[in-house]
Amino acid sequence: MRRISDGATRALPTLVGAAVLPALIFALVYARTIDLPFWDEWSFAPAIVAAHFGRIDWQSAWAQHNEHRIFFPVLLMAGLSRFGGWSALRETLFGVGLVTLNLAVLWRMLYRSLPGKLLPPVFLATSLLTFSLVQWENWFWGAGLEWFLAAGFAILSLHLVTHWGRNWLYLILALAAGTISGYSSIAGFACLPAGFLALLLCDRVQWRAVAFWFLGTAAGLFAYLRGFDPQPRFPASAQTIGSTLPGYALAYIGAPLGSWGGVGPSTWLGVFALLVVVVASIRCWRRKRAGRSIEPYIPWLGLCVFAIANALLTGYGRAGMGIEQALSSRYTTISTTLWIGVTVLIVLLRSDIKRGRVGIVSMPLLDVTAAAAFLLLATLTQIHGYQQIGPFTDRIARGLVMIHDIKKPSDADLELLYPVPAYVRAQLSELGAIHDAHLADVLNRNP
Amino acid sequence: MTSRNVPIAICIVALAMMVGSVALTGRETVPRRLAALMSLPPLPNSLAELASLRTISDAPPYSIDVISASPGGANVVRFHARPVDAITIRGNQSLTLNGWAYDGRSSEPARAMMLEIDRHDLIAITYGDARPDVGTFFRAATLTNVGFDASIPADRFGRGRHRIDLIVISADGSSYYRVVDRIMCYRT
Repeated sequence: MRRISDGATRALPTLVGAAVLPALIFALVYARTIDLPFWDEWSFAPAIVAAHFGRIDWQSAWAQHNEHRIFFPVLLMAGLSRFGGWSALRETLFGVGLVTLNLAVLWRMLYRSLPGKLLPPVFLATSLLTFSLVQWENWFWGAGLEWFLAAGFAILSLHLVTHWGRNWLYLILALAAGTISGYSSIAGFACLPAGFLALLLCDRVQWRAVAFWFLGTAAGLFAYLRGFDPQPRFPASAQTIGSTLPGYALAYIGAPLGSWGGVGPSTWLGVFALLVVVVASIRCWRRKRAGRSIEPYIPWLGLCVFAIANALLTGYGRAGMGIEQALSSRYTTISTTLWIGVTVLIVLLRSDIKRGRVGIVSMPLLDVTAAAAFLLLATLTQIHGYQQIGPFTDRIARGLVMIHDIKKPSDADLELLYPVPAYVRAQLSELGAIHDAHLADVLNRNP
Repeated sequence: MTSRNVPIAICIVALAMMVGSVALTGRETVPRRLAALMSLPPLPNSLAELASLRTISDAPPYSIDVISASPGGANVVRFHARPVDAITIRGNQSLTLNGWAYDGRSSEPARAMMLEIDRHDLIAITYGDARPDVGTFFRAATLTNVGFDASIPADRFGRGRHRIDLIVISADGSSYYRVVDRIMCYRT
């Protein structure tokens, strides 16, 4: 009886994490997505038109969009549009599938780092973070695919590079995954220095592998930066960057569990996460000096480095918009990787402690308190995220209704969908000319 | 299920979702909220159509945060629901205003907003801009996207003094609020 009970205790969290949470998000996305391109998603329109004629719009794929080259998202969206026209709903549902694939990679990483009995609960926490509603903007927005691709391939890259085991094929695939991540959103490039660090920290450093990684990263960045305008869009002024950047970066990394409370809780959670990373780094240094392996720690430290580098880079380019901008839902897909890393680092640190007490606090009490705090923050986050879905999708719905109501929509109507109405008008005209099956159906549907 | 099989099971779930993303978008999918919006009466395109809607005598909860003549930035006025002196518009300037409003009776975002110039011209303006401060103040997440902004070129006005009323269409589209005598402008 006891064995069956133990088995059920382990299987249930795995089942919930692996299937129930992804299925819930899939159902929610299916029910609430408004099937109309929105905001930056309109920049994919030329590629969709080209795909209609069976062509790939290389120019549009390679072009700079803000600070990004969204080469792979353009190819993916153009490919998806071949299945019956341009559908934002198809893109969002496909995005949930991509994130679920990513969960399989995270399971493999956890499996290699944690003892068996800890795996199911930590996997459930990882799944809860991965499928958090704090990412509402990306879940319900077709252009969210670029963030999912960037985060997903960054995680895959770090998994492969930390477990390459002198198999050069793994290392080549890791570099390829990192490059795909970088060419999905500039955020993805941060996984390459993280991978570099992972190669340097592993138990037996292979200098040929380090050199290969360095050269591969340099080549990828060189190609990226050719003809690239590196001017950030909304930097903080030179006078204020020193004071705003740290606050922006802390709020950015704290947002996945703190955005329900605004800048304050997010910043404090950012401080907490950084402390965990510092403590884990010190622990690794001590273990290394004692001749013990730190390989279970490396992928999770890599995920943290990936997110922290993004917090600083994004802050450099966007701090001029104010610290609140750091809480943008679309960024949380990247910063969530830090919380996955921090969660596992806490579990690893806890496993290292052999004594029954830390100071005057007993370990079981500390475990229960930590789990309760995580659940409380995760619950507040889900409630807050759920509340944001309505206003966000309502705005897209309003744009669709305005287009429908007024056969020749005014610039004011189109501004609901994109800040440059003339661009949307031109793209709608192009898409109308090719009779894009799905979009025409959405726009012309009778009330 | 053994630990080794878990990634395979997850991959099967993921692939099912990817296939589902194609299969499910092949058919008609209208989310409930969109269906509700689409079942609303059409928006008025003229003053005659506006007159066919019921008038709500109360003022809606609203604020006009900025009125200015742009470009140039002259005459920038910030106020909350109180009349101001006329804004002067010169040459090729536009009258720019922004703020927020919502349907006070249903406590939901308005269906749309318009400007009525001198009671003979009706102009639809952008409504639905993000105003998280409004949602936070009223403790209602549904009131996050209730901002409006408008930019009316000078050629929409004749020379002289003009009165502009804000028209706020109720959430169900059946009636409207009128905010009178808040905006006056003078075109040289």
